[in-house]
Amino acid sequence: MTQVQSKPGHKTQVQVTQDALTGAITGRPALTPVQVAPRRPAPQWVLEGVRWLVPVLLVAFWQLASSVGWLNPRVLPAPSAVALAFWELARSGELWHHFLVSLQRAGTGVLIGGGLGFALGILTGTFRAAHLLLDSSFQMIRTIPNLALIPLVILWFGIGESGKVFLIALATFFPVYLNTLHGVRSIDPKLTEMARVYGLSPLETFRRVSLPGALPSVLIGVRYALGISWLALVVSESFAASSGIGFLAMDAREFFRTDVIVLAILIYALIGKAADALVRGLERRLLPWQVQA
Amino acid sequence: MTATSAVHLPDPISLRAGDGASVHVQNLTVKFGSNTVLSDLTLDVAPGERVAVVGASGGGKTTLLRVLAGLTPHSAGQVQIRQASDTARVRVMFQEDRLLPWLGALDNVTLGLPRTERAFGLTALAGVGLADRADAYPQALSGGQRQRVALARALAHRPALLLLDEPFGALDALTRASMHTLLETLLDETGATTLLVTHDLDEALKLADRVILLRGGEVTEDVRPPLPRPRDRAALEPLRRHLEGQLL
Repeated sequence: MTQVQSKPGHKTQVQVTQDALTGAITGRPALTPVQVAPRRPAPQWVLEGVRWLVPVLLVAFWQLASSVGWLNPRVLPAPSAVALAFWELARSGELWHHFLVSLQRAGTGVLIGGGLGFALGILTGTFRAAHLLLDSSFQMIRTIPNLALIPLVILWFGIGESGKVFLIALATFFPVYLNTLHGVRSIDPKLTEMARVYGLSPLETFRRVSLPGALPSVLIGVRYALGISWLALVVSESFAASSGIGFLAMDAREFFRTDVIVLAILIYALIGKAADALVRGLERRLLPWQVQA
Repeated sequence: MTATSAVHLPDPISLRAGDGASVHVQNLTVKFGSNTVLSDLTLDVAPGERVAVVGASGGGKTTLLRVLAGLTPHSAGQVQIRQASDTARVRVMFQEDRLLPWLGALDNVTLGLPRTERAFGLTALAGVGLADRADAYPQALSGGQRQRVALARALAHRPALLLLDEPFGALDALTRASMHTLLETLLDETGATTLLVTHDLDEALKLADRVILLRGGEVTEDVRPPLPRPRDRAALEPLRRHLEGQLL
């Protein structure tokens, strides 16, 4: 074993051999045995801690910046001010009231829009004629931005609840519709053929093959719909509303209550997160056969 | 979600379903557009007979099977599948397992079975040696195990005519050999008339009473291996060579 300097400051162990017959001298880098140890994943609490590291640091820095006076409370209130606003509004019951109103709007809209999307997705996915008749119309309506409809919605429904629910239903219809349609259409035809050979009626085939096969896709649609429903909620509560989280934020703007505005934004974020967790729970319950990624 | 979390072996129930069906195919022609896949094919299969259909790709093997299964319409000719009692039950085992991923093994096996016949599901699953995996989703099973579940599904229906479409084509050699032994035992028990489509001559000669060679949509050979089962591979070698010569 000889040490060679291959590059300046870079030493390599070289195995030098001489051929007995030709006398040629050859050298090649010595092979050092590599220890292959199974990679041990970090414990759960470490992973969880790392996940929260950046948000916690951000909030801490934000609080510091506010306390020292780098941040004008008119621009961004301190986290403590937001917490205080939460406490005040929660104690008076106001927050709870607005929260429930928003939740009800979103829930009703999702049920109507998602329900219709599911039913029509199944219909167009199963029957060619229905697809031919309806799908291109849906695709056209889909491209209209929600905001463009607001003037019409006010004219049609006035400023009551129905207009807001309509906007949310419209927004949530499409993700559920498109994903249901895709789910039904992407069922392996070999499975439906098998069902036929094994004596299943068309209705049974739908119930035992098409529906469960489309379910993963439908749930993806539901997850999108829940996400988009809050977006539609913000839009619909930002005009002609007298209650709801969106109204809370718009009202606070009039009085420069940035703490309440930030609180409303935080609540939206938390609700979005909760909705996501809800769908994940649904997936675990309804799709036990899928390997969890 | 199956009802059987604890597996009880059922009372011995036979998978036998009377005598197998008889198959009569007369002047069968199948065309896809201008392409004639089967032309004027005539074939009679006696009840309980095991027929292997061999031939090169595109010879019409699978088409013949699909016509018998009622999956492909034929252009001309007559196809009759008769059983002494009533309409014969025809079941297919495909090359792919075609199990429903969202059902456990036992639920896959009993799929489509009338309520009164559900008990045959566990019998069939026990028959292929997977009674202890009744609740397992297909994803949790190996390729060979999945194919055994597919076989159990076909047998649980106690078909009068069992159609096997290259059922072991995707398995490794070792698994395939054990599947052959298993299939032979189970077929002896069921007594179903069997049509096995395969490109594996050894498989055909080992399992079938009768080997039919399809070429260009016609039957060009129809031989009976002159040996009782289980058969020794070496003794079949001359016949194997003969058929191989016909194939190439």
